[in-house]
Amino acid sequence: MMSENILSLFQDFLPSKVLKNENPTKYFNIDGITPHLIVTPENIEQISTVLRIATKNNLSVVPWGGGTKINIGNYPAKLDIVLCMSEMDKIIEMHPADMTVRVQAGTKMESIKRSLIKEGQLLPLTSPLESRATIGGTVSANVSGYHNLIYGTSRDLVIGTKFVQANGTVAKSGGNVVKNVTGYDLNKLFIGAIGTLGILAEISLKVIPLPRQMQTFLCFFSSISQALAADTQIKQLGLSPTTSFILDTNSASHVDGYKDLFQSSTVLATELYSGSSGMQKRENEMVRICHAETNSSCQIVDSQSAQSLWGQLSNFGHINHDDSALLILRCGLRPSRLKQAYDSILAELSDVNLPISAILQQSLGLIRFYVWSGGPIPTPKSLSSLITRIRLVMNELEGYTVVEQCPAETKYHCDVWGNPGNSLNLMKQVKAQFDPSSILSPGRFIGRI
Amino acid sequence: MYDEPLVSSLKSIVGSDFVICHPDDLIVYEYDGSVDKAIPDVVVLPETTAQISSILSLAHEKNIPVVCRGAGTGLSGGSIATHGGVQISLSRMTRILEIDPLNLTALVEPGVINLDITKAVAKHSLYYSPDPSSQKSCTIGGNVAENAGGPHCLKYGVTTNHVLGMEVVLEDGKVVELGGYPEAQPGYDLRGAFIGGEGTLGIATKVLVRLSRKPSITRTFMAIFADLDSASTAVTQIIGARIVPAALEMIDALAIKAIENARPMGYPRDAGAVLLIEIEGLAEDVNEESEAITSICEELGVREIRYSELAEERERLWAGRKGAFAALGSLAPNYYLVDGVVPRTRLPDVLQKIAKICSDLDLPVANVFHAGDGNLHPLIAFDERQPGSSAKALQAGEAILELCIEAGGVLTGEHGVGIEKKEYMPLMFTPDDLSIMKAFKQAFSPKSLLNPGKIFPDGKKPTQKASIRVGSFSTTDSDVWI
Ligand SMILES: Cc1cc2nc3c(=O)[nH]c(=O)nc-3n(C[C@H](O)[C@H](O)[C@H](O)COP(=O)(O)OP(=O)(O)OC[C@H]3O[C@@H](n4cnc5c(N)ncnc54)[C@H](O)[C@@H]3O)c2cc1C
Repeated sequence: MMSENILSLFQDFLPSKVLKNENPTKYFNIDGITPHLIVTPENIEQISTVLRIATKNNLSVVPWGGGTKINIGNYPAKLDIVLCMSEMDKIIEMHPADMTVRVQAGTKMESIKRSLIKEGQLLPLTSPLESRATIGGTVSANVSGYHNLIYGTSRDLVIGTKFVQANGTVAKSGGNVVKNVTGYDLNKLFIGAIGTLGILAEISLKVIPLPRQMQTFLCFFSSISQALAADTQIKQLGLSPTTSFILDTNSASHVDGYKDLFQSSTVLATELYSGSSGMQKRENEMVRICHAETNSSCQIVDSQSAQSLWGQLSNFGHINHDDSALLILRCGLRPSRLKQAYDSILAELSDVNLPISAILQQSLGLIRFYVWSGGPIPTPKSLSSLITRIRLVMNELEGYTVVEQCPAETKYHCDVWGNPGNSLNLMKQVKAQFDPSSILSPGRFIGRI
Repeated sequence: MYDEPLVSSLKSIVGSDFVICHPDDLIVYEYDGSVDKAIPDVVVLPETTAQISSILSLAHEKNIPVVCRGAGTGLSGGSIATHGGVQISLSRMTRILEIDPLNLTALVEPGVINLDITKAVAKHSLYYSPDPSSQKSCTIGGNVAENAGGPHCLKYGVTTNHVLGMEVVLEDGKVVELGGYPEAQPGYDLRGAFIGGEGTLGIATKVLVRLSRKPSITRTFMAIFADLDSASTAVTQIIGARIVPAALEMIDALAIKAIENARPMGYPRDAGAVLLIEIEGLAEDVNEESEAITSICEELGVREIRYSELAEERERLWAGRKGAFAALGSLAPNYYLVDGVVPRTRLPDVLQKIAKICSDLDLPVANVFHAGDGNLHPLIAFDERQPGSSAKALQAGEAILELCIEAGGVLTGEHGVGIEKKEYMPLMFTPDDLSIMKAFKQAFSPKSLLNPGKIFPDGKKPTQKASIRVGSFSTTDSDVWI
């Protein structure tokens, strides 16, 4: 269908200011594919209208938050309409004493956090570029950032959702209280579903009190194994890390402001939280742990530099970053097998003859591998066969591999989500119940759902 | 209804010793901890996933409803076979299959008792965090189905925050794995949506749980207040002081009296409320939080405050709270235990209104509950021998739930909807909300054979006849608490 024809289907039902069929800079594109129409609804009724008409005319719709993670997932099978959430950006209610907040899904992460800080509270999710990223996108992409060791992810923090189904029907799940088992927990389905089940319009969240003290520590080691061992001790001693990243030696050159400091060490970056008096004890323990492992010491980072460091690490190699990686793979497996996976996969990756680095998050059982440009870029086919080989290694280790970032053409040669396991059929049935004509972000999810 | 061919097929699957169909033997499977009862046609006790899969395929082929049962401690009628059919008891699937102290996980069968996981991993200084008060008897399968909580869920979260994945047998007998290790597996979070599914989506046959490390210090406070308002204010102020205690539990005046009558704890009989506060972590942090808690309580005119970090003494401080349920038996022979949630700040107001609802109906009501997360457990005491009194108890329960919704809360915080609350669902959900839940269920169970008659309103209120089985104190021992 031509762009003008699509526009005309909506004109009678929606004010013209929310409809746009121009996209001059191709800002709105997903894996290079551009939509015919961009709708920016101002309220939930308008979202409902868009979806009703789209379903009737079999037009595909992709919700767009801040666009910071829009390129995750497979390439869209079809892209007619981008539903831009930027006007749905209000905080609906804040209940500081109950530690809950209800917001429209297009609200920017930065704006939620700014309002919460005034109340001494924190939403412990971090997305890349918080001035652009929305809560709806953050939840839909299941981005958790770096605080998740203690506070968990969206799965632990989202307590209610209001969403618009493909046929335009508005429904909700959960509520506005922190404990609730009334009816099925459909909230969970939307987390990480990248807009394939419905359009999130409102989200209720549990928030946390700002920790009294947070302190970022950097520890320097000469091997991954040493860093892993120290990391284990920090947890075992109950030093309450909110986060912990292990950067291998090749990562250093990609961290602004830390290149010289990191040099050729393996770096363990961790943030500990405590009451006002517990930090000294933690500091002593950190010094002791580092000393025991490597005879070297650890370093405390002031809070402003820490902000920049954590911002960089949760955005590492991301496409919107100046220094963006060609390929980012997220490998998940049991923490005890991390080292083995690290070694085996690095061996596979060495074939590409490009700079490679890795960041490990032991407690979460995650390694992210980054392939950087800096030589001839491999063909999509050879990248996809590399991914296949890595998946074989990960299968052996009972882990998974998701391609978080890659050149768009590579997506035509592999499924970025990998092997869906034996519940794929069930997932397809869920999708069929929520979106029977498959108009919502078609093709982008696992198994090309 | 006795169905000979069905029974003999079931016997060929699990062996004849493990199929129960004599009416006398079926009686013990007709109730759980709730209001309703119904007798299944046949009870099967499988031992393996493969057997469960065969049972479900058979039932699927014959269109027979299947209800599964853990320990039967559920408080909303979840395991009651309202439509008859086959009840699958998981009492033989109690193996702990794997403990992985390095990766902090355990893989267990669904019939494993909650507390047995903690016992099995204690030697590694680990524990399984969600601790429903029924943890000495309820099963992990039942916990998954109800998304069970407990006193320590305030800080650490409920079942869904600690179950990483499970093996599930679907209505047609297919076996699938949902979730797994580590988290953020690609795909929809079917694990998360299955938890709290109240047995209507499938049968969990293996559960992978996350284990937690024991904190270095745990300190328990018991604070006695003259009135409920000061205690409620203390709750709000403690949390306002950026302290998230591991547990924050409240006992109200009537419960205090009952406890003092049954098993004296040394609470002043005219006390308005007792707060139990537990904090954990490194000594330095615990000390700092202790100071803050003490001064908050003192400023609010606390009558007495005691604390300890020694296991034995802590147990004593908890004893009143844990013995409350049994003690409440002194109020009347029967009880109706309601489970609702309100935003924490609405507690004082809502508790006052609950008192009014019950006094208008001339029913004693005691409150022993999870104050930190606003999860109320009003216990309405009555004597079923007095005509009309069980109906009155149900009437009070309904009014309390309406009150919770009005206050911005929800129908159930941890006991589930089951049969008990299904007719109240429209108080909280629109027909569209309920339709999408039903659609979701369709994806798992197109024939709706699994645990039919639960969660969704169908016009059948718990009848007065059924309510005769409203819990009776005679069956509770002093070990049981809510
Ligand atoms: C004294 C007392 C105190 C309690 N305290 C608490 C508390 O603090 N917090 C709390 O949350 N609850 C509490 N409960 C309620 C109850 O113990 C929980 O709901 C518990 O999770 C039920 O477990 P069960 O094994 O007894 O399940 P059952 O009662 O046997 O079954 C409950 C539901 O689970 C389903 N089910 C059982 N096993 C499986 C399986 N493997 N797969 C799928 N579905 C399954 C059943 O079909 C049923 O719908 C309390 C109950 C009592 C009697």
